[in-house]
Amino acid sequence: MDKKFLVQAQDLSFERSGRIIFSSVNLYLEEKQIIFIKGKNGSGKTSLLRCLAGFTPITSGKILWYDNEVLPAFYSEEPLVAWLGHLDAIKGSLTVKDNLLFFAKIWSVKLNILNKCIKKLSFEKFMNFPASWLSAGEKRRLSLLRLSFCPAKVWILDEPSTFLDSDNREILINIMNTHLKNKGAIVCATHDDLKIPNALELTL
Amino acid sequence: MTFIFISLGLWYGLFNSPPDYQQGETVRIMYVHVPAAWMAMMVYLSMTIMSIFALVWRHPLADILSKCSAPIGASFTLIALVTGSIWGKPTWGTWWVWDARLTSVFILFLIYMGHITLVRSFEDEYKGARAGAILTLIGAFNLPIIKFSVDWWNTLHQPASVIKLDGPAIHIDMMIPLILMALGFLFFYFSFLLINVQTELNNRKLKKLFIQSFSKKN
Amino acid sequence: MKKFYRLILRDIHLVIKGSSDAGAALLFYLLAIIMFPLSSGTESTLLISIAGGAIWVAALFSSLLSLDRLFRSDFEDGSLEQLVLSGISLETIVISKCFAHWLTNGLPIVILSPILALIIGLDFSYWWILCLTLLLGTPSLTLIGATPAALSCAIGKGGVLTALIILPLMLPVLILGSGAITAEISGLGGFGHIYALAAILPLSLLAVPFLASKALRLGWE
Repeated sequence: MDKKFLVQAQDLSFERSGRIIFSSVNLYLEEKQIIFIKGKNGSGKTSLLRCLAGFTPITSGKILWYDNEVLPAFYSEEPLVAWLGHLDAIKGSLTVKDNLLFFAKIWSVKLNILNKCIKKLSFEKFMNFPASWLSAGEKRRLSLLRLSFCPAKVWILDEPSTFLDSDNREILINIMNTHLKNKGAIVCATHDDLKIPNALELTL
Repeated sequence: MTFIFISLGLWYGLFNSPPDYQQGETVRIMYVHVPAAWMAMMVYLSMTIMSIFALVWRHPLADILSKCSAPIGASFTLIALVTGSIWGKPTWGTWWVWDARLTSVFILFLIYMGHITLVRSFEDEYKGARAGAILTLIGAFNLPIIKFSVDWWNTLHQPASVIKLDGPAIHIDMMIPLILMALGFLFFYFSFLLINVQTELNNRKLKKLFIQSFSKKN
Repeated sequence: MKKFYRLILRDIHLVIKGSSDAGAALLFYLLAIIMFPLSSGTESTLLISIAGGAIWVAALFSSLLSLDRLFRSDFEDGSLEQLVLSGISLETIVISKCFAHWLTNGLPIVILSPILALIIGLDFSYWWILCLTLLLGTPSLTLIGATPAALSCAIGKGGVLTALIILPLMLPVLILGSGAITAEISGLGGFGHIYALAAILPLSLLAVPFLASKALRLGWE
């Protein structure tokens, strides 16, 4: 029986300003699987993730999402991927509640699921404050919260443990494991050593 | 080729064509002004087409062609504006007037200059060339305004006499040098475009080699 | 469609609650118009002849000021990426942002203009054509400026360069808009200009989302 791949990347190479960032990269992501992308600074981890999502066009190779050549950055039906990059995407001028509600509404997430996630990350006390009052670590936790209720099956995480203290790291590992248990899949670029069982590694 | 056409055109224009009964010898400026104006618009039109190619099909050469055409087009526009102004002084009594055609050609010049500035403000030339393509397409609306400006508005500038629906309205003796000059300018454009494109490609190759040698050393 | 409404609401919310850009741009509009009577002394005849144009120039500069930051904040904090990955097309985002911009910049300009026409000495019986030209023209100004605003995200810095690019593109709208007023006052009838203004709007509505999206994607490359 053919294993169903959520994401397939075949022989990818990426060039920028004449510099070859990576070449001959292959990646096959299945359900309940996590792939860690490792490599030195500047080895192209972020570029690979952005290429997978479709923000940056690859120089050569093929990327398939659910056997389709349409990449998430071009797909306008529903979220194909939950993205956690370097940027938080939190609007400081809105309240924490408004920030979260907006995404919950456009992702068609039921309110009880949202509230469950808020409770899980103990964010209830922050709800009515303007998001600009949060510290960097708290903002990072907020984007983790948003990640946790995103209905997409695939997660792409770029250095998710930056700005997180040890407690929050535990939370991160917890939600990653929960997601994998719920038949999700993760591609994660990290320097950190996140202890998750049965992880595959890809080094650039 | 360019040299031949331009010299032929100039010779014809200066010696063989009859002086216009109303304007005397000054009409000969037309032989530079009109082809320059034609080229100014034609270059932009070709840039527009190349930009469409660059954006829709991502053809690698298309946005380079568009980027390199811009300075040439800008020069032609400037020549057209300046020669037109010189011609206007003895015939209309004024160096400049803000009528529809002059204004829209001036806008074209500004768009060219904006394009050149935009493309060169990117550190990454590939991005710069693509940004130029996008800008070209927005400014493309200006072209029909220029062409039809003399028909839509009452303008000081004379209405179209060559490219009209019922055939050209000027004498063949004047047409010939005009066409010759136009062809001359056209070949000028092609030759300069090729030079520019080659320079651009060489620059990119050099940069690539430099970067690669640098990273190899590490 | 529901997503679109939520998006627009959010964008309007952001403009109002966010940095005081919107208010600043409108204040600038007022100040710019006041500068005209102040600088030309009490010569009312001179002022009346340029009144229509002056209001248009002020409107242009006012939208120019706030256009630069149209996409920048969402682009720079990663919200744009999240929105696109949430299944909202970039074209929709562009339209939503333009609409929010027009509601908070163009529309107030239109509403304020009759009052300002009084200040600047425009014959009050012509307020209707002033409003009409501004009503048709300000959305086009927003749309035309959106693509250079998107390009400025790709460059990384905006400011003078964006203004340099936007201005020549906005000039035809300016010429048509103030031309309509002048023509109407001198009895020639401004409706030709108005039809032309009305034609620019759907054309830009078609072309700009596509081009601005390309520019934003260029910023991501």
